[in-house]
Amino acid sequence: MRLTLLLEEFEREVIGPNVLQEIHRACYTRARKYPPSIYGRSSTWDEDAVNDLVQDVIVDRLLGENQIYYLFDVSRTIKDWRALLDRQIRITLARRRVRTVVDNMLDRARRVLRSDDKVTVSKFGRWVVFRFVESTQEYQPLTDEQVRSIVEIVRVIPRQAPSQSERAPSVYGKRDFEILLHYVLREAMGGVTVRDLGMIFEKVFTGWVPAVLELGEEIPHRAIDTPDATPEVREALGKIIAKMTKEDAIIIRGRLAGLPDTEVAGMLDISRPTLIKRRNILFNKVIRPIADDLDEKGQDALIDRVAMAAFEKAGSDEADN
Amino acid sequence: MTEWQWPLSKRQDRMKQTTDWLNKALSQRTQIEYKWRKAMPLDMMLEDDVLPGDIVMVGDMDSTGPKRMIMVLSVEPERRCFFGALVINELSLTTADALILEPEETDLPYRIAVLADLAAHFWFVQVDQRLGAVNEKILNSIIDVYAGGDNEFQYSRRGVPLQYPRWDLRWPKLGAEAEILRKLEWDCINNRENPYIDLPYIYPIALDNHVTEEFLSENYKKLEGRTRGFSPSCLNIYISSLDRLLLRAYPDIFSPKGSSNGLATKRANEQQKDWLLRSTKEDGWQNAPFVTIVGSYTPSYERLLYKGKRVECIYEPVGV
Repeated sequence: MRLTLLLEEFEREVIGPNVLQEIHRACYTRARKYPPSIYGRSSTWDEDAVNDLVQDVIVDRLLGENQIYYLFDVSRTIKDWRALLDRQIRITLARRRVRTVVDNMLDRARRVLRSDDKVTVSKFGRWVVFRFVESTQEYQPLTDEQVRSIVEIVRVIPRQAPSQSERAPSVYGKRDFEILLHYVLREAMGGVTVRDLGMIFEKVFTGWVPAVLELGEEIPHRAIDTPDATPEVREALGKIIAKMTKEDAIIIRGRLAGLPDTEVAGMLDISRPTLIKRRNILFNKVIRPIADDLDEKGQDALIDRVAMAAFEKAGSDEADN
Repeated sequence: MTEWQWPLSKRQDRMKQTTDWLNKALSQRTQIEYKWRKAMPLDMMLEDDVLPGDIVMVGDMDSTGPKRMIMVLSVEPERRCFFGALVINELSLTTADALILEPEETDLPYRIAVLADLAAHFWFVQVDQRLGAVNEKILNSIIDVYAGGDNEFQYSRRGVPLQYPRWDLRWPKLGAEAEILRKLEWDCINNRENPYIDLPYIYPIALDNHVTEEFLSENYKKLEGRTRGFSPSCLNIYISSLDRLLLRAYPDIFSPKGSSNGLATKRANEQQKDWLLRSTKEDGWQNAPFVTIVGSYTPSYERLLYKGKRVECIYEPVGV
């Protein structure tokens, strides 16, 4: 099949028999690499299940989001076009997952919050609202801006990325997850619903999307562990925490969250060059000499723990203020 | 891998069912005319078409590798190049240094993200197609982000910040995109600083008429000395009959020999004219993928593949 043939057909009728045949073939090839019970709404990838996937790809992605234009805009060869089509199929499959990482997180959040003495449960319409016992504010659904602000900070909390064998890992350690939920409740003073938490977790896991899309069996995927804190790591962490000021915590948290320098500088009410200077001193003269004594795994573990320490310190200081 | 085919017996039924829902989906589409969408084939003049804010498709110099969508941030018309940021359709890859744009803001059919931290230089001749354009406010937001400035508008449109690689699995994909961008800009980034490339050539056929002397004298003044002469390849024909004005106009290329008084220009035959023009263009294309030729005679704009590389020739008319 030549790309020009598909292009002519696209210009004439958008999706004609040749384009459709390509989509059918690509769906069939890709679908076989995904478990049908999770992605196929069926026990096997039979004719109906594949046809159903074809319909989702076309209606939701290619026509619904006009991605069919993108395929033709960007492709030079039929190989490029097929690769882009395959990407659209993977995105469609990922959205079809019966249960996602976010669903698991929400279930877990419900359990943790319901058993938390500091948290009370009330109703807002049909939604259950979780808030701190001492909170007196009325519930307001989180705005996009609030969600974004919360997400950009809680992303510092270390999480275990998905691996080949584990499509929906536990993600957070027990204590780290409680700290995360408390931070969210503190920021959303009137409390949060599961819907609010869902918006937060969906953004938190944006960084995983490419990996989730590439969990096809033929693609080797790098499993990323949350390394254990050995006695050496704990000792190094102790040294860093002993020297960590409130400003340091905000600088570290901002760096690990990937926040733009202008925003971190704004939090500290200093100029961008001053921030960069202070950060260089902090990382090169305080943290690096301590971390250099550890091996690579130890350094990874140290970064995770330093991130958590900075998150807690910066967060508690903000709460004090 | 064996190509997949539905069993013959079921194919007709399936096609009928498929046709029903597909026809319905196609008929429900909103028909929109994308007014900025414009193919730019090889013979199309681009000089006035690539402007800041345009969203264009950029290919490599030999038109064989992958293409990428780019938003034009600034242009250098003299050097026939522009600076632009990568545009993607996978919004999950969008970072804090980016701007997510809706179709109505770009005149594209789909949502995009402009990654200000992945920007590069390209030649005009690398543009295959203009797909859309944004307004000044959006353009300025992207430029602000690129320059490390604060921009309220961008803040509400940006993606999720990129974290350090062990936590953020977008790095490999973004790294691959950056690599493609580096390949696309390689020719431009290596040659655009060459000080000679923006100097136009005099159209060599100007020599073959009786007003050569006046023409060159007049236009040398107009062009304030920035005009370069014929390509060195032309020298062997004309060196013996150079006019003193030519010597003055092109001191870097011609050096006077003897008294050089009263030299007359020599009429070139048709074969020589073609050869002169071709040699001039080819010499220009050694430095950059474009050549500007100044003269009273103005053939149409050319854009072509020369020795497997995209090149263009622009004719800049000056009055005689």
